[in-house]
Amino acid sequence: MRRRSLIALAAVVGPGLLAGLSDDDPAGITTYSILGADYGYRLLWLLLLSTAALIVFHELGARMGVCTGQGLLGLVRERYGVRWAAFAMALLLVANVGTVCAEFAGVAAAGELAGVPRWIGVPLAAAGVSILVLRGSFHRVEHVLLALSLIFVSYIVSGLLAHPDWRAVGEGLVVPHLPLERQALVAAVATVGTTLAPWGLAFIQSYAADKRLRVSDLRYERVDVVVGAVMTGVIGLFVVVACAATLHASGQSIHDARDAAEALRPLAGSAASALFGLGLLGAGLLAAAVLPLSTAYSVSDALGYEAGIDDSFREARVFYLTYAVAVACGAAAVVAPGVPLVSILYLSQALNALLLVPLLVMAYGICRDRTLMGELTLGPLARVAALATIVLIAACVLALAVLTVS
Amino acid sequence: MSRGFLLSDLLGRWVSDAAGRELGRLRDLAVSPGRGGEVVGVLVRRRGRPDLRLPSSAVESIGDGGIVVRETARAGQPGEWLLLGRDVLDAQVIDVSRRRLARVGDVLLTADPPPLRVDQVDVGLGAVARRLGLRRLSRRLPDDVVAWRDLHLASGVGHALQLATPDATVHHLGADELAEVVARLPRERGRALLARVGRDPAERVRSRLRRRPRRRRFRRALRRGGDAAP
Repeated sequence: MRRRSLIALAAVVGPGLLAGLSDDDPAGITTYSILGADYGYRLLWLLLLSTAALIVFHELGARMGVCTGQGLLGLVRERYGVRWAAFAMALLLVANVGTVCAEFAGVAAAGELAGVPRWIGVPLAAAGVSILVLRGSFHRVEHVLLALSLIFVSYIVSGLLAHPDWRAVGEGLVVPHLPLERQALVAAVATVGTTLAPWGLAFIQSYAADKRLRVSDLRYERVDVVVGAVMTGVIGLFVVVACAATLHASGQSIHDARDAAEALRPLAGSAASALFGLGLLGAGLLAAAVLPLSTAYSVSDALGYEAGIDDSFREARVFYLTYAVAVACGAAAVVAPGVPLVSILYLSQALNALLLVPLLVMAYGICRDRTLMGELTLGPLARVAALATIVLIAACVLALAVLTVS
Repeated sequence: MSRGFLLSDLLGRWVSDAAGRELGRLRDLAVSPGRGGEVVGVLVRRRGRPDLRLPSSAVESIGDGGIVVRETARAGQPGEWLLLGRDVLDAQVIDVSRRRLARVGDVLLTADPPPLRVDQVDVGLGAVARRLGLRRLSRRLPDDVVAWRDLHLASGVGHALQLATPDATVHHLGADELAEVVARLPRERGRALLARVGRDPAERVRSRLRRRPRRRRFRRALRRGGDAAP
């Protein structure tokens, strides 16, 4: 019986792990690195909070995908009408393409750490993820992406090589502490915000639907969601720990994940630095594959076209064209000279934040709709958890907006 | 009522009685799956009062100025009603004739000849553009319409009601076509569909799906003219 359950779990695993781990993208790694370098172990408790929010958030997505067999924007269109779906699609499209730029910028940074110029590394990465999705079957794509996720282990090893103070780590995790200064507040809300993204919710739902999971699979899918979110939190923790044990201890400040990898070399050894860089490459590649997929699913869902990795190009033109355009735009923006990359990244982050709360509220409304969700309609406890998460995220988005403007 | 109507144009229009007294706005139109696409009921949204349910025979005229009805008539309980705005517009459908999944952009109604009934649904981008107010763009996009009889609704209410209708298209499909429909439906709905078609046809569909579990391979085999429907 136990063996049977494990086999069933193995067949279901994928959506939660991929959606969770792709949240640890280069932008996320940068946020965690800065958090560790600037505040040491003190703000680690935020990762517990964001992990809990991620579990609630992704469970909603998986529940909707499994129950309805539809993607998020398709359901938004069905329940809220074509205008809301078009609005969400337009924002998601711009925000996602901007974020794809960030993922390829991460790939470029990781390549340059190893001496590979970006004009070689980025087109290679773009071609690789495009061929994988355009030519591969659903199972092949999933297996390759899950294998790619193993690279994240390098962050754990890198954190261990930094010889952290485990007692301080434990204290930072369980004792909430927040310096009442602007920079610390920005770092705190950015940490929660970087873990949760609209594209992650859209991806897990569409991917679960594309995998054709059944209602009876949902209990295994919940395990997948929890494991994915916890792995995301654990990797974030080791990134913070690696930077806290080395950069914070020596009083160094950094601006991005590449700085962190370079700064680790004299402090924790070249192995830790190389592993950190390898992790950045893996994070960039995984997110560079998953984000355009999320975009393609969303556009196809909203416009009413077929969307499935197992569909051929002829059957799902909009799906594959959206994927290809998202990858091409993201890669071109990183390689082409004179592109205002920082402005693009800033705009995409702002759009992600702007879209997150309305999308969550709509997802919550869908999950409460018995006509759509049937027996999987949110129960009282799940409603409280979802509402608390929405309030937390809305507070973070509002705080970030106020702190950025003021 | 001699021309065609778009559901998206009708929803929200003012409904008034023959004396010109405004009763409310059109909330939805109902069809009964057992009666083809014939409109059987009209739902009028009234401010601060429950919706007014009228039989379609109460509709006297539909014009640019609004919809005129005889308020004296009352419709029965809408237990078996399929609401076009709620259950069909923007919902996912399976185009059985072209074996594809699509989403309804608009519902085309006709009253020529009477009674008012659903003729086709538009699943193209043009309908979406028109409803977003992008009329110039919508005129450039080609129509993509599907006859009402060739549709199987994938929305919760629509799917259940169509399954319960003996003359629905899905009940007359061969094993290959049925397998194609089941492969596109969410798993639970596919299972409900198979439960309705009888043990032997369901087993034939299952064996086809088992042999070619992934859609891409399955469709390739269909195009090659693999297993013929029994």
